[in-house]
Amino acid sequence: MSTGEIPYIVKPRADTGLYNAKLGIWLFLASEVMLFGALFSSYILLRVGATDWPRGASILSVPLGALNTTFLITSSLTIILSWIALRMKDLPKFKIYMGVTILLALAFLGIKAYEYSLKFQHHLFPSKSTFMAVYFTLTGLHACHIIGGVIVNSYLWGPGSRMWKTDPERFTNRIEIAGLYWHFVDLVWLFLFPVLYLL
Amino acid sequence: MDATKVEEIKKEIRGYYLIFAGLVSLSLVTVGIYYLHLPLGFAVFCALLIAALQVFLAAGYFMHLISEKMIILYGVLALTACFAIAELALPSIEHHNPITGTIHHQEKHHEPVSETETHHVP
Repeated sequence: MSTGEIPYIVKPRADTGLYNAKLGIWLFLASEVMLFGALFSSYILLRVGATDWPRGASILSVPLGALNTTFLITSSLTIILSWIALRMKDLPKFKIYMGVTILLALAFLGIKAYEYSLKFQHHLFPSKSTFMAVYFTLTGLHACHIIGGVIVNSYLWGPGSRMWKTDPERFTNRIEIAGLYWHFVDLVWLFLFPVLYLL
Repeated sequence: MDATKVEEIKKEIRGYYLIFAGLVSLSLVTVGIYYLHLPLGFAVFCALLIAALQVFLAAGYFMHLISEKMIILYGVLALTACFAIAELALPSIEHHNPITGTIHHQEKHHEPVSETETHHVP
């Protein structure tokens, strides 16, 4: 301790049972729940106060939304498998699973961009209606989270993976943290999909 | 790595595949319910119930909340849940103090519902 080293960056603290990053990510996710909660609350307020509200499927593509849901659920599985690969001391397998996670996230973003372009072609901008404003706000914020996740995961897949040689346990913890964030992003989509596309 | 630990991890992996299958199946059910063209209220109830089940599976098993034994974590999550419920309940205030231009305002003040004054969504 006298060396000025930050404690509990790898091993959990005895009283909380958590290492620093894990406590940090859960506090961050708690703030994210409040952020998306506020937007869902606004959606409810706008929807129940409207005289007329379209069913999402009449404007949005359900098959594309369902495909994106499958991509995100699959990426949740692959990121967990990448963490397990590290626990089994298998870096090449980690690279494969994390690579697949990143590709699935990019596929999700590609489809989302295609959906946006279709809307713009039909002059369906956020200013068109309350529904479109809510749709672009919620899915746009979610897409920003996906982009953030892709950047972090790409770093951990590439240059960040050098830590495996010097401090494998800490690197494994980093992947667990990245995974927790990624699962949260997946969870948000599991609510967004039915709310916006199906109801 | 000893054989017992490897076997434990393999068992864990099988569990993750099962959860994955469950999540995909529930998503298919959600889409299937839409194509049944159920009444809106019932469709909302079903969709949110399935989404809640999916959140339970993903948060419980993928995020390991089922197996975590950290009281502080549950404390943080319980506090978050309380605030989130309060946040989601905020729209109910609208019924008591309706926003001008919404159907609730017009109903409370016995005004005729006008297409131009309300939040019209094409």
